[in-house]
Amino acid sequence: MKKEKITITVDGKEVAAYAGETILDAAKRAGIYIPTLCHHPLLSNTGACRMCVVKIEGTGRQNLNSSCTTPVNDGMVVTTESPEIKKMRRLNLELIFSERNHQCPFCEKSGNCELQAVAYRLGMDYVRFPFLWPKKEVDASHPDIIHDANRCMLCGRCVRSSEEVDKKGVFAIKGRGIDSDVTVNIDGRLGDTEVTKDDVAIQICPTGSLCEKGLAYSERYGERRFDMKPIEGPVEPK
Amino acid sequence: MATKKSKPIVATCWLAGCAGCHMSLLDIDERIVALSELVDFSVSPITDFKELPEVDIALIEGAVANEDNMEVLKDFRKKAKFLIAFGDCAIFGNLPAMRNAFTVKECLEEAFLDTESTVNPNGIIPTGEDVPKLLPKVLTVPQVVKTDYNLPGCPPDADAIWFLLTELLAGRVPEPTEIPYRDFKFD
Amino acid sequence: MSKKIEINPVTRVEGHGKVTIHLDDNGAVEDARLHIVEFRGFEKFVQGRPFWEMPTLSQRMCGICPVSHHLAAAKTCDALFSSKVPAGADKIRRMMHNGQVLQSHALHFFHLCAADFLLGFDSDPAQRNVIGLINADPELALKAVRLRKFGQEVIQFTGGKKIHPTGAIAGGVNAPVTDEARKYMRENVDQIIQWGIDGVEICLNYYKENVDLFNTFASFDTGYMGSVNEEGELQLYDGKLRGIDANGQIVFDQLPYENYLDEINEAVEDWSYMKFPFFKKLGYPEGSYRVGPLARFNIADSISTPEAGKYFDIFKEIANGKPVKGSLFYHFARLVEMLHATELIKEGLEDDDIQSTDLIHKGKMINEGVGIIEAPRGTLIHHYKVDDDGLLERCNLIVATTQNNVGMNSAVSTIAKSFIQPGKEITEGILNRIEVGIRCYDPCLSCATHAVGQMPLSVDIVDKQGNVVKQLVRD
Repeated sequence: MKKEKITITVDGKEVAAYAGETILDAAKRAGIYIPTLCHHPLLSNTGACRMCVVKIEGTGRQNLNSSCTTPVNDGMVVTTESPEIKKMRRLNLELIFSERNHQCPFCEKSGNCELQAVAYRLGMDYVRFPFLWPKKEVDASHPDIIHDANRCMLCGRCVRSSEEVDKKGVFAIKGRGIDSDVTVNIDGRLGDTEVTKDDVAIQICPTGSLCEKGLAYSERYGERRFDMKPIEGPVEPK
Repeated sequence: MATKKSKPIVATCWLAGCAGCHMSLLDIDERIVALSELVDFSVSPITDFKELPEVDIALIEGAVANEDNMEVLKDFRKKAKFLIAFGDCAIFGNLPAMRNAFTVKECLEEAFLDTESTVNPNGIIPTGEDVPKLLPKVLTVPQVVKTDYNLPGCPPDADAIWFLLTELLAGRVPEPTEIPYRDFKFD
Repeated sequence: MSKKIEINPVTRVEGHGKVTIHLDDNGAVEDARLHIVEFRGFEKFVQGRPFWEMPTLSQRMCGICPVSHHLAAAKTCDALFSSKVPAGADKIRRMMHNGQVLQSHALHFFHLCAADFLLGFDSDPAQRNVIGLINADPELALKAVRLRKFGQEVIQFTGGKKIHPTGAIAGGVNAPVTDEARKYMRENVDQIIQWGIDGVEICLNYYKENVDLFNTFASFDTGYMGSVNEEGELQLYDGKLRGIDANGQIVFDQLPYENYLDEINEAVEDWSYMKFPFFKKLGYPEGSYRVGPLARFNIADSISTPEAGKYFDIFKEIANGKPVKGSLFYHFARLVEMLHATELIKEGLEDDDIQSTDLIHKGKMINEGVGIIEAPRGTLIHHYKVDDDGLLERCNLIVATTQNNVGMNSAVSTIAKSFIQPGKEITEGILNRIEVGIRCYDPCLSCATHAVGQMPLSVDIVDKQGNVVKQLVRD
C-alpha cells in the first residue's frame, strides 16, 4: 500500500512527509537534527526521555510534544529549536544525569556514549539538580557482557530490542518512578539468560549500562565515535 | 574607573580534586608567558583565606568534601567577580563524590582499619582537631554557590582553558557550545 | 606554658595539609607534625566496580602524576588476567612512564624549586614561582616549560591524552605510537636530553657552593626503599623491591612485588588522614622509610643510561658507602632521574616494537593481583582482590607520598629544632625553611597550585588555652 504524501512545515521549511509517520522521522529525512535518546529506528517508540520535544503550532496544543511519538498531519507547523525547547531538553537531560551515577571520566563508554554526546551537543555545562548518588548493582555474571545499573537512564531500549528484535524478552523494567530498574528474570543475573553480546539489546545501549566485556577503553582517546564529531542520531548495532 | 590600568587578577583554588585541572592550565605551555602579561596571578592567595583579595576571575577545581572546602569556596564566591567551576569534580562530583554511595564511617573504617597492610591495634580513626570534618555527602560547586561559568573536563583541555580565559579577558562570555567541539568534553 | 605553633604550608586555600609545632614549657620543640587533611575513601567506593576500570578510575586520585596510577593499575589488571603483556605494549607503557617521570620531575624542579635555588631561599616569595622565574631568567623558564611539554607530549603519543590518559588497559595498551609521533619525538629528543643535562648541572653547581647546607639541612636517619633488577640496577617501571636501613644494610632484597605485605605495614595516627608505612622487620616507628629519587639512589647500585650514569657516580662518591640523608639531595637525584628518563625515551624511540600492533594479551582471570611501579615520588602499590565475575572486593593502595610521611614529618621537626630555640625570637625565616624541607619530597598534596603561585605561610603560636599569642604571616 502506498503511503499518502503530505506536507508539513518544520522550522519554516516545507518538508514532504508520509501520513502516519512521526515528526521525528520526517524531520530526519529533511536533514534536521532533533536530539533523541530512547528512540531507535529499529524499535517502537515510547517517548520516555523527552529529548526530542518540539513545538506544534496551530493545533491548540500548548505543551511541547515528543516528536518520536507524534504522527504528522497535513499542514502541521513544527518548531524544533527555540529557547523554550532548548530549556526543556536541557532540563530533562540534567534530570537524567542527576538520577544515576553518570560520571564520564572513568566510564568505559565515554567517547562512544549517546547520553554524553547529546550533552555535548546541547552544551550541558552543569547539572542544577542535586545528584542522588544511588548505590546500584553491577552484574558481571555474563562471560561477555556487563550490566551496570549505575549508568542506566531507563530509556528501555534494551527491553524493547530484546522483545522486538532479538525475540528473547530478556529485559524488563521493575519498580516505579525513581526506583525503577532494568531487571532480568526479576532480580536474576544476566549470566543465567540466553542473551549474547551480539544481541541488538546490548549493542544499542545509549550509555555505559550495557557493555560488551573486553572492549573497555580499547580505542585511543581522540579516535572514539564522538570525540571529534557531534552526534547525528542513534548508534547502529554492529 | 576610567584610569584603572592594573591587570585583572586571577585566583585559583583546589578543593577536593586531583590537581589535574591545574596541571592542564600549565599545559598551555609557552602561552603562560603571554598569560602572565595579561593577568596577575594570585593563585592560592594566602594562608588565612579571610585575606583573599578581591579578584576578577576565580577558577575552582574540585568538589566540596569537607568543612574547609565549604568555607574556602564561600569566601571565594564573596571575593570573586567571575567564578568558574573548573573541571568535572567541581561540576559533576566525579571521583571524590563516589563515596556518596557509602557512609563516611564505612569509608574511614575501610581505609584505616580494614585494608590489608594496615596495623591498627587500637582502632584509631583520625578525628583529631587538626583534620577537618568530612561532609556526610560530597557536593558540587554549583550546589553550594552560584557559578558564573562551568568548564567541564577531566581535566578541561588546555586549549579550552586558553580559549575561555582569552575570551573573558576580551570581555566576552562564550556559550558552552561556542567552545570548539573537540575541547568541550567530560573526560 | 606549652605552646602549639600552627603552620599552613599548603595554604588554607587548598586545605590539603598543615603543620603544627608543639613547644614544651621551655619553648623548645617537642614535636612537629604534618597533618594530611584530605580523605577520599577510595578503598571503599571502588568495591563492586569491575577491576578493568581501575587504570582510568584510580588515576583520578592524582592529576600531577596520573600515569603512575594508570600504569600501576594496568599492571595489577595484567596480574588479574594472567597476562603476558606483548613486548610492544610493554615498551609503549615504559615510554609513557618515562614521559611521566620527565614531566613530573621537570615541573617540580623548574616550576617549583628552581626559584629557590636561583633566586635564593630568602627571596621575595611573590617571585618564587614560575612567573618569577620567567621574569628572572626567561631563557631557563622557557626551557623548563618545553621540557615538561615534551614529557606531556610523550604521554599523549603513548596514552592518547596528556592528563588522565587511557592508553594502558588490562593486558596491554590500546594503540601503537604513530609514524608522525615517532618522527616528532626523534627530532626533538636530543635537545631535551641536553636541557636535562643543563638542569642537573644547575643543581650540581648549587650543591658545590652549598655543601654544608646539603649535608645538614633536614638530614636524618630512616630506611629507604625502591626497585632494582637482579644486578641492583635502578628500575622505574618494573623490578624487585629492595629495602635498606639507615646504615645501608639490606633489610630485604629482590622482593617480588606480589609479596610486599611480607615486608611492609602501615600504622595510623589520629592527627592525619595519611597512614605511616614501615618495614615490618624493624617495627613502627623505627622501621619508617623513605621512597622516591633519593631513596632509589641510595638503594640502587647503578643506573643504565650513560649521561645519567655519570651523575649517579658523582652521587655515589658523595655517599661514600653510606645512604645520603640530607633531604636536599632529593633534588639532585630527581634531576638525574629526569635525565635518565629522557635517555630512556630516546632508546625506546629506536625500537620498532613501539609501533607493533600486537598489543594485548589476556589469559585466565584470577582473584588477586598486585601491581607496583616506581612513580616519580616513589614506590606506588596497587593490590586488588576480585570476585569470580571480576568485581572488586578489596583494594589496597599505598602511594608514594604516604611512604614519605615520616620523612616529611622528620624534615619539619628537624628544621623546627634547628630554627626554634628557647629564648630566641621565632622569625619568618623558619617559614621558608619548612617550605623548602617539605618541597624536597615533592608531595602531591601541595605542588599543584604552587606551580604558578606562591606558597605563603603563617605560623600561629598558640598557648595552652588556645589563644594566639604571636602570629607570623608571609603574604
